[in-house]
Formats: sequence, structure tokens, C-alpha cells
Amino acid sequence: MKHHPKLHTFAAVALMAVAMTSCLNNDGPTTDKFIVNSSITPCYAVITDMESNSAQTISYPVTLQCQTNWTDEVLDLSISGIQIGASNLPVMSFTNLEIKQNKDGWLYNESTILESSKGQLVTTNTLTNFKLEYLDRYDLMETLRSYKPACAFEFVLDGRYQVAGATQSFFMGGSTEATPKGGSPFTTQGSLYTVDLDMKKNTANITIANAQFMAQMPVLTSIAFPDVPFTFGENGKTVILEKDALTPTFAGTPNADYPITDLKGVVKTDEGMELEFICTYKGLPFTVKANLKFSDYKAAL
Amino acid sequence: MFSKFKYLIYVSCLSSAPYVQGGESNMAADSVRAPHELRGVEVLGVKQMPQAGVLPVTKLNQAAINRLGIDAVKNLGDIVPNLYTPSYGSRMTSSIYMRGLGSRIDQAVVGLNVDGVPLLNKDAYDFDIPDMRSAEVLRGAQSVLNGRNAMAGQINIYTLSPRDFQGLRFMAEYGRGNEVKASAGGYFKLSESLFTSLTGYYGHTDGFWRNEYNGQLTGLENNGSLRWKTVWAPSRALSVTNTAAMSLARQSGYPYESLESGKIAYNDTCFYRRNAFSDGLTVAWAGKRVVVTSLTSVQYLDDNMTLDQDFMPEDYFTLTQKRHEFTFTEDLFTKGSRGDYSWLGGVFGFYRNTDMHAPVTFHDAGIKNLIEDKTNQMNSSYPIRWDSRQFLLDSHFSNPAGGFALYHESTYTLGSWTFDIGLRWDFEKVSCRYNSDADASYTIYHRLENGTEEIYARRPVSIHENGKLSQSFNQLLPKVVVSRTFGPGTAYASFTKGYKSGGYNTQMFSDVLQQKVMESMGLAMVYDVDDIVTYRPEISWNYELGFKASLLDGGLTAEAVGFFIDCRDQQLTVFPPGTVTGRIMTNAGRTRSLGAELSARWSPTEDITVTSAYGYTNATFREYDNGRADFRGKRLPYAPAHTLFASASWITPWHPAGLSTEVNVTVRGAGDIMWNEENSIRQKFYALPGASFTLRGERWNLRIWGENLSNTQYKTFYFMSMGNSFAQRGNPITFGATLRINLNKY
Repeated sequence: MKHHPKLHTFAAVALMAVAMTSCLNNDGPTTDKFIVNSSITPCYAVITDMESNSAQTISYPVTLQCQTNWTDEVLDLSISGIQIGASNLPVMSFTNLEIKQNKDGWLYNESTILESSKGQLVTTNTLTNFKLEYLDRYDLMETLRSYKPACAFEFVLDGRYQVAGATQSFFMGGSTEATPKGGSPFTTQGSLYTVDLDMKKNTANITIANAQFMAQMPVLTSIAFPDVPFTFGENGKTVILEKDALTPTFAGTPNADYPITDLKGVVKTDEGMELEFICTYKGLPFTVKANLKFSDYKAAL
Repeated sequence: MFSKFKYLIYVSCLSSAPYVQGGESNMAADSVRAPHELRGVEVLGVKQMPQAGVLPVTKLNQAAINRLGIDAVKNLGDIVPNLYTPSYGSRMTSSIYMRGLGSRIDQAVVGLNVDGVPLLNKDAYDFDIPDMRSAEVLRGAQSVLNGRNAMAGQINIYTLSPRDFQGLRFMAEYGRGNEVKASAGGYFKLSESLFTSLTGYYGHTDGFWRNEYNGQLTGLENNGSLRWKTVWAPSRALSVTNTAAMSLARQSGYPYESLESGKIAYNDTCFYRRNAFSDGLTVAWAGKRVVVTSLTSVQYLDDNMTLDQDFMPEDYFTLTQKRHEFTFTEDLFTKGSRGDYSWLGGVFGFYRNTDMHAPVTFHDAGIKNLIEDKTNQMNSSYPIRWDSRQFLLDSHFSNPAGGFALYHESTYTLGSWTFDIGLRWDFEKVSCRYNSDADASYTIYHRLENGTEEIYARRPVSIHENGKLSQSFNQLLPKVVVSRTFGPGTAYASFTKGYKSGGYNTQMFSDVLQQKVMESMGLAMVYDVDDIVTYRPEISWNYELGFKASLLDGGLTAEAVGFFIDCRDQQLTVFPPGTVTGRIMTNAGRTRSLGAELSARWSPTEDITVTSAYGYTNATFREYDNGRADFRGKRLPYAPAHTLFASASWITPWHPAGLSTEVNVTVRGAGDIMWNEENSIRQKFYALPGASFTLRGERWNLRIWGENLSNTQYKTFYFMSMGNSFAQRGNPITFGATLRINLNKY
């Protein structure tokens, strides 16, 4: 497996990381080999019963406990928090999953069939068409070196349930193009986007750090679009965000001078997000389009 | 390869000579004679090669110094070609430009030695020297022998030695602007081998300008100094000289006028106070073929610069910069000659530590216009108001720096040819420990539809930044000079590498803190401290051709020099991408400077002498993009394209009662000077005529003088602050009288 230099650095930092008290945490190495323990949580999982027409259900929080052995290029994985109906599935554990790395730095495993095991016992859960992709990373620019992974998974559970899920928070970077009506586009690469899903309210908070929509505008440390309704698409593989109008907050303070309209965003949980909205300043509308990748989050810093 | 048509280097066939004339004292430094012929430690201790006289140098003896009224380093800029030393601000602002190279802040491009003691801080360059015996300005990179920050030249000042003069000397001067200068010196021979002198000086001036806001004089100054020099020469082979000097300066300052209003008017206090002490010990031992010299110095600087930083009647912000600086230098070198071969080599080391406290205080107008309005224009429904109408951005710094160098220069003469080669290895490490704090708070209000406001939130602003930055520099500095003598003249070609040290621009820390304050309020991108304040060394490659000749039995001497300088990693200010606030200093540029210098001295009779010096510099950016504009091809700001000095002296033949008289007329000029990188604002060339009449007796002389007799109006400095333009005017017509009394013991 070709080690992506950027993520190798993150993993090396992870060796020195202290366990975080937030829901997303990393315990550090446990053996002489280059092994990193990660707890990717909270995640969500969209469960579709392929045998009945019942509505999709959503399990959260789902936790993926990953022990990544970079030396041997294998993964020990545990998945917990999946709910079928009213029942919580027991923790599903898999060992020695072969992992590879793609050109964008994601680690991934694709397995035709997996049977969870716990010690000597073989559980009753069988996963087929299993796919897991994850970016195991720290945000080194932040003082606390917070853990900000990206993760997307899908599988068929026991031949009946289509399960697809991802982290409940998305961290992305990329290009942002702002075009005033009748004017030329202004493009920046320095903005960072965070989408936090509130699973209870079915709304998302979108935050843009280091936002700038025109050259004369001061860089804003944080613009937030609160309470944007979202739905899941493609059985959980995408998150669709949409809101006709909202008042953004600047550094936590509502700002009606910059009304946001026509906001539409689609998150592909294994790739990134396309986001578009109109921001109006002093009567002049700016169409803002962001083309974002999970793997560009670090590059944007 | 340079196109010879594009980069034409001007050479003409005139010979050169320094302004050495007869008079009170003719004590040109001499390092050429064999050691046993040398006369004293001041001569033994001079760090110069015989070849130094070939390269462009302006030398002044005491008579010339007195005739031209030179009593400070800044005055040298009037008479040396391509040297520009504008007077503005306060004694702390010692901007020196030579051949287009220079700097307003931090590192110098021209080195300064006083009696062999190197002054490492450019902020201490501006002081009055009442007992200046001689001065020399070496043009071009002097990095082999003088190391860091002599990239464009070197100034050496020598004060009068009690070994060369015993008796009493007095000087009193009065001039326009209520300028008073007075000095008294006693020079004593205590024994055949022990000499000592004590010189005191006091100066006062009201300046020429008033602050129209409060009616107070700007440019008001009191300063004084004391110099104690002791020479012990127990034998012809051994000499020890110790010079201890202290100086005080108290100055209200900064007569900056607003170009919009045409007035000097600001409400807060501006002043500069400085206490300085130095002690230099020179020990020289002359052997049969070698002279060994040790130059040791300790220096202490304690100053306080306080500014109304906006220079406007409104209350924006004030800055105080208090500094304590300790410096130690040691230069140990040997020189000698054997037949046609001469050499000089040595080691140099220094340590300097600077502690600085630099608080910036924001006042009401600054808080409102720079913070509140800027924030509130982004959110009219939720305006903010600072909870206090004054707050402090406080910074403490500690900047230790140390360095070590090895150097060597060799000269070999072969018939009419002379070959000079030198090399210096220079290592330096600098650090910056910083501690910056800001504690304040603001309230966010919610403006309701009926126009009333309610409190929405209160937010603290608490910023505490500390850390340490460190960098080291390693430089090899070569030099090659080839010269040939043709009858009455000498031609030479030289190649040298110059070097200006890197470091930390602590003035940028207030920008860092301001950015963090704005960031806590949701505006501005914060940059890494290291990126903003750190700058690397500047490097220059210098190429020169020159010719000097002495004709008419020495009655006509002239010098012509052409030069080309390629400067890289220029230390410049840029705006980082993606922001409208903040600026960082970085190595962003590449410049080239080409030009010529012509100087001549003509004495058609014993009583008449005409001297002139002209410098031309075409210095432009080859690469400089500051993040907002590309300045390639633009002229470098602050350095004049032309400098001019001309002087005619006539010692009148009328000698009643043992008196003699001398009439002297001068003209000094500089310009055009660009004030910004855009080259959109300039000071055109200006000429300042002057004249003096001296009545001389056996032990005294009275000089009546006038400067800028045409009352030409010109600017010596220009800058912008918060979108406002400011400038400092040059001095108007001035006149005065100077009385000197020398009571020689013998």
C-alpha cells in the first residue's frame, strides 16, 4: 500500500495524540508495529429493508472502532450502534481486513462477505458487499489537534438490510467561487467547510471558516448557516441540504445584512460536497458555488 | 551576461583625491608604512589594507570637517556622492541610503565605526561628535573587513587623540532656531607615554516647527555627551587606547505634517529619550613585520520612543517603545607586509541582547474607526461597542543575537598591477522571545425595528501569545580587486559580495495582536507570527570600475566610478493574499542598481580650492510583487537618483594683524526621490546653497555661516498611515556663528 504522505503524517501524529474527551477520539498505538486505534463516532446509518416497503430507519450514534495496522496493512473493525427495528444489534467485529489507500488518501476495504466474530464465537450477522472508506486525520492547525475523520460505509446485513452511513460531521475544503450579478467570479481556496448533522431535528449547521466572497471583503473567521433541513439520498450514501432562505451568523451573531437564499447542497459521503447559495450584500446578489472534497480539508489550511 | 548597451557602466578618465587639505590638523589614517614607522595606536589599530586608497572613498580631515560644519554622521550625506542621510523624525531614525540600497527600519546597509568601535544598532547612529578629527566614507560593499550590514559602505569616524594634540579646545555656536552648541575639551600629556583627554558637549535647539494642535515646538532637543580618551604608549611597539563615551538626548520630535491639511497637528505626546554609553579598548602591538591589534567594546543603549502613532488631532493610538540593549564586540586582527605582499586577517565576534517593551494603546477614535466601525459595517443589526474607550496591546521582547567571523585579505603588487583578494566567513544566530497580551471586552447590541437597542451578548477579548523564534545565517563573502597604475592615474575593477543580516521586525507584533483582536470578533485571517516578523538576510553582488588620477602636480585630482549592484532577497513589506488588513515583512524582492560617481578637487592657486562630488543611481525593482501590485521596473523609494555637492574656498590674501580670512560657498543637492513603490509621489531634485566667512587668528577662528540661503522648500521624508499622507519638511534658511578656540600647549 502506497502511504499517502499527508495522511502518514497524520497517523504519525496520532501516535503522539492524547485520547480526546470529545466523541471523536483516538487512543494511539498499542503494539510495536505502526498501529493506530481510532474511534470514529458519532456516525449515522440509514437502514433500508429490502424485503418490505417499510420506511427507512436511521441508527445513531453508530461507532466504528478501527485498529489500523499500517505495517501489515490490515484493519480490525468493530461496528456498534446499528438498530434493526427496536433491537440493538450486538457489536460486530471483524479482524484482518485488508486495507488499501486510494489516490486521495482514503483507506478502504471492500469485502464480498464478512462474518462478525467475537472471541471463539461466530455471531449470526453476515455482511455482504461490504465497503468502508475512511480518512483518519487530525486537524493540526488547531491548538488541541482535534480529530476530524471522514468515513463512509455500506453493506448488506444478513442479506436483507441495505445499510449505508457516515460520520455525522463532515469536514471539507476546496474551491469557492463567488460571482456577483453581472460581474466576474472571485475564487478562493482557503475556506474550510463543516457540516454538522443534528439527527434529532433533521437539520444541519453549515459553517464556513475563512470565508471571503470578494477581494474587498475582509476574511470572515466563521460564517454559519444554522438549521438547514437535510434528507438522505441514495439510501444513505448522500445527504441533501436545502433551504430557501436563512439569516447567517457571523462569529455567532446573526447578520441580516447578508441574507442567504436558494441554498442547495449535496454531500457524497465518500467524496465531498457541492454547495451553492446566493448571498446578497447591499442589494447585490452573489452566487456562491463550492466544490469541496474531504481530502482537501487539510490542504486548505 | 549583461547587455553592454543596456547596462552601460560609466567610466571617465579622471583621478581622485580625498578632501585632505592643510589646516589645523592633517591626520589622515595611514596603514601603509612599515610598522616601525607608524606613530601611534590609532594608526596601528586601523583595519585597512593599502589597496583601500584605490577604491572609492571620501576622506575629510579636521579642517574640512570644521569648514563644512560637519558634527554628525548625518552631515556626511550632504557631501559624499550617492550617500543620502535624511534628517527626519528623531535621533532614532537613522536611515542611510547608499547607491540605492538602504533601509528605514532594523538592519543597516552602511556600517559605522567610531574609533574602531562598531555600532551594531542603526538607531544609535545619529549623535553629535564635537571632537571629530577625521572621517572617511568607503563606498561599495565592505563586507570582508566589516561583515554584516556594511553591504553598501562603511563610515569610519576618528576623534582627536590627546597624543596628537595637547591643550584646550573650546567651541561655541549659535544659530537660527535658537540652536546652541558648546563644547570644551582638555587634552593632557601626563607623561612621555601617557596621555588623556576629556571632552564635554552640550547642544540645544528649538527646531523650526510647531505642533499647531497644542502650540508646542516639535524638534525641540537637548543633548549632551562626555568622552574620556586615554592613550598609553610605553614603547614604540605597544599602544593601548581606551575611549569611554556617554551621551544623552532628550527630544520632542516628529514634525510630520499632514499633506491634506498642510499642518503639523497631533494631540498626543511624541518624544525620544536616549542614554548611551560605550567603552572601546584598543591594544596594538607592532612586531618586526606584523601588527597585532585587539579592538574590544562594550555598549549600552537605553531609549524610549513615544509616539502619537496616527499623527492626527484625533485620538487613535499611541506607541511606546522602551529598550535596553547591551552589546559586546571583539575584533582581533593582524596585518603586515613582506615586500610586495601585504595582508590583513582576523576574527570577529559579537553578542547583543535587546530587551524591549512596546505597548500600543488604542484610544477612543482608534477603537471607533478601526474596530467598531469596521465590524459594524459588516452587521448593522447587531452593532458592537467596546466596553472601555481605551485598551492596551502589550508586547515584551527579548532579542539576543551573536555572531562570529573569520576574515582575510591579501594584496600583491606586481609592477604596475595590484591584486587584492579577500574572503570572510560570517556566522550569526538571532532569536526573538515574545510575550504579547491584550485583555478587553465588547458588547453586542441588537438593534430593534423601533430603533432601540438591547444587549445581545458580552464577549471578552483575551489574547496571550508567547513563543520563541530563532534562525541562523551562514555567509561566505568574497572580494576581488584588480588595479593598475598608469602614470598619474590608477584604474581598478572590483567584485564583492555584500550582506545585510536577517532578523525580526518586532514592530509587526502590534499587527499580529490587532489581527487576533479582529479574529476574535469574526474578522481577519490570522497569520503565523514567524511568517509576519521574520526576515532572512539580503545579499548583493557588486561590480565596479573606477579610475583616479592626480594631475598638475597634485593641483587637480579626480575620481570616476561606475557600479552595478544585483540585490537579492530584498527585505520588503508585502500584503498576504486574501486579506485587506495586515502586512508582513518578507524577502520578496530583487533589485538592481547601476550608476556612477564623479568627484574632483582643483586648486588653481594656493588660496583657491574647488571641490565637487556627483552621484547618479538608477535603482529599480527586478522582481517585487507585494500581493496587490507588481512593481517590476519601478524605482526604489527613498533613495535619490542624483546627489550633488560643490564647494569653492578662497583664502583671501588680506592678512592684517596676523589674521586670515576664508570665504567658502557650497551647494548641496539631492533628488529626485520617489516616496513610494508606485513612483506616484516624488521629491524633485533640490539644491541648497550655502556660504561661510571665517576670520582666523593664531588660536581661534570665527565662522559665520548660512545654509539653504535660497530658503528652498523640500521634503526629507514621506509616509502613509491609515490612508493619510505625511511628510517632514527640510530645514529652512538657517544662519549662525561658530567660535573655536584652540589653546595648544606647545
